[in-house]
Amino acid sequence: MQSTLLKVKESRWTSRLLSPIILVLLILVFAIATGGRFSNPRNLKMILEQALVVGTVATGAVFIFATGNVNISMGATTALVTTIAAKAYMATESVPVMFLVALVAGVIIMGLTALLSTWLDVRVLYVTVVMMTLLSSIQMSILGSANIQLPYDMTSGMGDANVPLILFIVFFIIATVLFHFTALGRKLRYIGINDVCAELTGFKRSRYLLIAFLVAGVGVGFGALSTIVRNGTITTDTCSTLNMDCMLAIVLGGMSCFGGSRSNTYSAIVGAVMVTVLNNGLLMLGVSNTILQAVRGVVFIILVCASQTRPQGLPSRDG
Amino acid sequence: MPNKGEVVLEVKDMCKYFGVTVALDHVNFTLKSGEVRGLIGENGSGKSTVSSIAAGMQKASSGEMFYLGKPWAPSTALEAQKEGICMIVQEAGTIPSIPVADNIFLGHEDLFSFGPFVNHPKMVAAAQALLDELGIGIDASVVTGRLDLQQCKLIEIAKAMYWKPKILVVDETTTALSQTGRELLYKLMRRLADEGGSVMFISHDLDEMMTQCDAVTVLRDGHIIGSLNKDEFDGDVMKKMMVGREVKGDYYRSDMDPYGEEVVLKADCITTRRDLLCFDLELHKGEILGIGGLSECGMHTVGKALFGYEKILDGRVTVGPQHTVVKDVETAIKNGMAYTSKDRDHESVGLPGSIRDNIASTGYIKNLLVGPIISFKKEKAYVEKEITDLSLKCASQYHSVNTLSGGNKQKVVFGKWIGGDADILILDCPTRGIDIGVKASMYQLIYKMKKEGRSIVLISEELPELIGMSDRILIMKDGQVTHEAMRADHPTEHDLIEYMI
Repeated sequence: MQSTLLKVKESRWTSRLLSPIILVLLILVFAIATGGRFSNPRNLKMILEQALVVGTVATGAVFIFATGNVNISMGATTALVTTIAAKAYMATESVPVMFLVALVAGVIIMGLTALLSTWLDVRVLYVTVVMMTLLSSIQMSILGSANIQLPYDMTSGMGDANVPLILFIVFFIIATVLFHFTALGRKLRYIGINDVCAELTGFKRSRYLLIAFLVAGVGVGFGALSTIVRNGTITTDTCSTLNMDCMLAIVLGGMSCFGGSRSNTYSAIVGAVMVTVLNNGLLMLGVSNTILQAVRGVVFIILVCASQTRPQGLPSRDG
Repeated sequence: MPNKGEVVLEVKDMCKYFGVTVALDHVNFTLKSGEVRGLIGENGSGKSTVSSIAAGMQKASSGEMFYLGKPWAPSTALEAQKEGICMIVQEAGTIPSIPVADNIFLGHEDLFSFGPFVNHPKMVAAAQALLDELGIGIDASVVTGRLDLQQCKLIEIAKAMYWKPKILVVDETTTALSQTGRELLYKLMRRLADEGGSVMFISHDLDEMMTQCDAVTVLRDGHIIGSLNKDEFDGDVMKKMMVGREVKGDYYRSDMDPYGEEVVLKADCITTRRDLLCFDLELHKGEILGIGGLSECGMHTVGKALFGYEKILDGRVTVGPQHTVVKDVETAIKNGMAYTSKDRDHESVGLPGSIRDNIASTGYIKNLLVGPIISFKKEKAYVEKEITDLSLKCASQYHSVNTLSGGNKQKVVFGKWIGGDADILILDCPTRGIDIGVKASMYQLIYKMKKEGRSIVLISEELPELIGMSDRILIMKDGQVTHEAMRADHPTEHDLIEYMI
């Protein structure tokens, strides 16, 4: 019995199946608890729409997390990119320009974050602590006291054309191919497993960290565009919970936030839906927004603990 | 101290499970005062497990222990240390960022406290007194990270000796020590036993066991196979007990095969930040070049420098017929070089990753389907081939390397580079901490690689291994080659040691 259980625990499929099962259970629980309000098609559609932004950014974040690095400035980056792209649209009234600006801005800011980490030889986490506040203050000074109100015609038109969904699918497919079907993903994971060993296998950490950030930067650009389409109004509150949502999504999806072997893009999509279901369901049950943040924090800590595999007995010993 | 010959530790019917793996299976064992007791067995036989349970580092799944006649169930290593059972572990047990003195008194800072503060000068003075008394020439106030592996080990020994242990467990410590370090440790062990303490000594080096121990106990697969007293010591008997089948006395290569003329790797007057000053080396095709010396002689730096991992300040390393300059690890690998570090767990293998993650890491280019897309089928077969060729013991290629024994971990490292078709292998202590069964197959593998025309730099602290395997041996001292010996001249250990010290 014990051996069967262990086999199940060690199986590669357990973590991949576990998350969808929990997701279905969550939906059922919320559906019953809210007396069906949660499961009505309009609400479910809204959840999926919300999940698209988180899913897009989280998919990019998988590349960074796989290397064993934690980035906490992705939300702030997306917020700033959203603001810059919206400004660009207001100035030119051209959708292609807005797309281009979003992508370029996302890639540049993320690339810069990676370079700062490697140039200064400071861990990504610490660089992003600084970046988070820095980018937020830049966004605030760009916005000033006024919010940016984008024309309704443009946002609703793009919404009707399912632009966020298309952006997500395009990015997810590209990311999945890169991550699972080319050497890139394997190298990133190997860096997450043991970065010294990866360096000695010829995978230059600084180079692959930059590549990971550039891919994530594309995700940020796409995520920013989806945010513009969904929200229509850009305020200092835009994307304020996005970073936590992404980190939660990644661990809820079954990936370890310490990267390594079990990293996969699939976690981002399943996790993104789970996070939004959790947010939406709890709000619907009357949990206040402030308490919701606390609940999410607790869930995150529990998952991080659970996803850390502890060595049995003493590490690196024989006999 | 208990009287000589009195039973100090008794282990009764002890079992230990790691998940489904049985590490100890109803083990019974007694330790008497005044003896140096060796524990021998292959990797995974349970010798470290039983001793670390006695030292409070982990708990048994079932069974009892009695220490000085009383039931013994330490909950932490600190508790065991205070009661008189200290253990020196195989892997690094010091914290690099704090001074030596702080490492020695780690967890016991209260000895030097006044109120909530620690009297640090007093602690350093106490540590220095201890080091001096033991004859270890290290300054107690320096930061531990500035010391090398050998000195760190000596600090751990000092740390254990401070508590005047009644039982000292020395687990696979000598592999990290050079001859002088070993001598010091042997002396301390003997002194402790003479004063009425006991030593549990774990090592893979049978010669060392036979000279240092009063008795040995052999374990295999979590069972006690038997015990031998000093007058019954016999290498072949011990090996047979450990492995469970006959093992021939000599497992090195016996041939006199020549090697090629062509120089495949050349170090041209290289200078590094530490250790090396204008160092030259030539490696020929199909040659096994042994490099030996004391641990701090600079030979480990040579390995790193050849592979482009140590910054070369002056001079250059060139590889291949085009004399490509090895400026970094990437160039080295592109030119068919491979490197296995002495510090295997930290530098050569990704422990939390699967066997596949590790072995496949050198074969991405070989396993492509179309364009940059990797063929999962090819990759699986690639890994499977190495697992079969090396007879790596594992449930599947998806198994985490963490769960493998030391020998099998090393096989993963070898498989990774052989699969990647490396032609020039720099092996730094490839058999460190590996039992004789696997060692023999490693030697065969190194010989097979030579036969295939690969060139090997074998850096080792074990002279018999160098003499047994190398075509040519370089002995180093203080970053310089002091002696060169050819295989044809049949050098002896005695000849070579002279040039090391």
